[in-house]
Amino acid sequence: MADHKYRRCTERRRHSPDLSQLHSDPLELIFKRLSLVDFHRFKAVCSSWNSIAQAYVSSSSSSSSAGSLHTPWLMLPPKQEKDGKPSAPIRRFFNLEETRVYELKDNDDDSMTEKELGASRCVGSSHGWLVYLDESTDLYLLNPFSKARIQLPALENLPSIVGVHRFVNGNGTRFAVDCSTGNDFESNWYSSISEFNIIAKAILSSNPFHCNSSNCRVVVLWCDKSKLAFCECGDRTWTDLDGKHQFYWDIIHHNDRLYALSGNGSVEVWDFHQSSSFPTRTMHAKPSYPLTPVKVRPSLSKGFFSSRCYLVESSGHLLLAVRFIGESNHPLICPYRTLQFHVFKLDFDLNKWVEVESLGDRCLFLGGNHSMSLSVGEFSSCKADSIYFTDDYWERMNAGHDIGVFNLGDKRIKPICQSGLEKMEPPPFWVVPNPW
Amino acid sequence: MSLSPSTSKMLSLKSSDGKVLEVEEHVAVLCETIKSLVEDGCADSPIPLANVDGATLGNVMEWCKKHADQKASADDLEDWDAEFVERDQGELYHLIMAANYLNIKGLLDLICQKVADMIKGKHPEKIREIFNIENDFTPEQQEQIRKDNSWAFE
Repeated sequence: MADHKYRRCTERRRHSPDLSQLHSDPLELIFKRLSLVDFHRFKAVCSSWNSIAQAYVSSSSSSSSAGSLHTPWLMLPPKQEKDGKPSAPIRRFFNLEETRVYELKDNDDDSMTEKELGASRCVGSSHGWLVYLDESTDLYLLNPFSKARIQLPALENLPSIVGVHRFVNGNGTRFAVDCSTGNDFESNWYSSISEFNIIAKAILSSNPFHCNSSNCRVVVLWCDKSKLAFCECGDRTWTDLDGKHQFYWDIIHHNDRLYALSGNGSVEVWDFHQSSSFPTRTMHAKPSYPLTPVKVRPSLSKGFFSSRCYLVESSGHLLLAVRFIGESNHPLICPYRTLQFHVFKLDFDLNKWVEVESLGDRCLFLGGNHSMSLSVGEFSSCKADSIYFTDDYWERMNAGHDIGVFNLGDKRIKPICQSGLEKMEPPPFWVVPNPW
Repeated sequence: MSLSPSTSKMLSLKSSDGKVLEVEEHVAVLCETIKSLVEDGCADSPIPLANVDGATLGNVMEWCKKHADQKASADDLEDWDAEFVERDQGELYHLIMAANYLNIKGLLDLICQKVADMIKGKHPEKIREIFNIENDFTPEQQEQIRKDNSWAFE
């Protein structure tokens, strides 16, 4: 009987071949064009497609592009109830492509969920992984889609930490960290920094799933944005990067190099590619800071505003995006609001930041995440010449609310999604959904 | 050496089912596989293409001819391509296999994009139906696959 069925099946296949028989090369060309949701459905079609997709996922050949295969999703605050009753938190993401929210229910045996969504704070999003700091000062990487988790050296192992104070308040156990900030003459000085400002941003050099993990590097901008440190996956401690500045706006990692944008607009570069174990500072560009008169409508800002700066790699150029944030007329609902962005390109010959009027077919994703630039040719659901931003004003935030998409052409800001929430706690992060 | 249309000579291509097709050289060399044969001086006449049947070879050369036409505008090609890919799943399968074997990147990208577009937004049952693919998972495998990423199937 089974034999008969097999013969009938193979005969039919011989006469009418179908796409389930495609080889891996053309099949990869097909599923690389699919979103994460469609990719999961694709894997469920037949065993041949499933095994080729699985083999692709576990092969290292996909590492180079794996970080940017899919359009970023916006991680929303978790849902704490189900059918009207309180439940274990459920992760929620807004999918830009389909403009709908997905709820990722964890399996019942996944005991980590509550911890991550409750007592831990996200301090970075890079190459599909989230960087979390929990209330016991542990740091770890988590892929919210594959549920993979990698432990990092604890916060106490950051250089120049003098002590950690733990205390209990209405929100559970909290902590503050004492950092030595003194130079050679004032080495006894230190400042106490709350857990909310201790790590401003954490980024990864690559997807740790793909490299043998020691090649994956995590860099943190910490201590009120004054210090840089790195570790490789598997290290027990953090190593200080001796930055020349007192303050950094942003850090990015590109092609084995770390770029740090300082408070005065200069860029320090460390090369990790050298054979020696310690990275070397290869460049310190000190372009003149862009002093462009900013055309901000006073009616929006009560006449005064603050700014935040981001560093982005885009089509081989280094971009500086300056975000101007005004004071809102509704201080209780949203005390501050982004008014506009100006974007500058680093001209290495002139040693100058030169303003760009348009991003062309690129769009930027900025916020607490590793800054990204995407081409709308490859990510058709994104709008060209636009900046998708989330709230990362950690110093003032009590809940994320300053979120939207700014168009460089018409200078207008539109909402990204109607979440039904004016304030979002924890604040949303851009995440590149990554199944591996 | 230029391969301009006016000086282009004819090449004979022989399909797996023995059909011979006469094609202008500047059209046929859109297939990288044929181009290397011509450049190496190994282009026997007729060139045997053991992996491509006659009907598919005709379709492939129709696409090459259109794309070798330097008068065609980008908009024109886009419209023409959109019509070209309106085919049943069997023809799409053969075109992918042929474009892969003959190494025609433009055609391969076009057909793979078409198949990806047909998959987008659909559930596995519907994808199987469109492409006439048999569900060969065991019930246990099926259950596991769905459970692993249940959110993607809602």
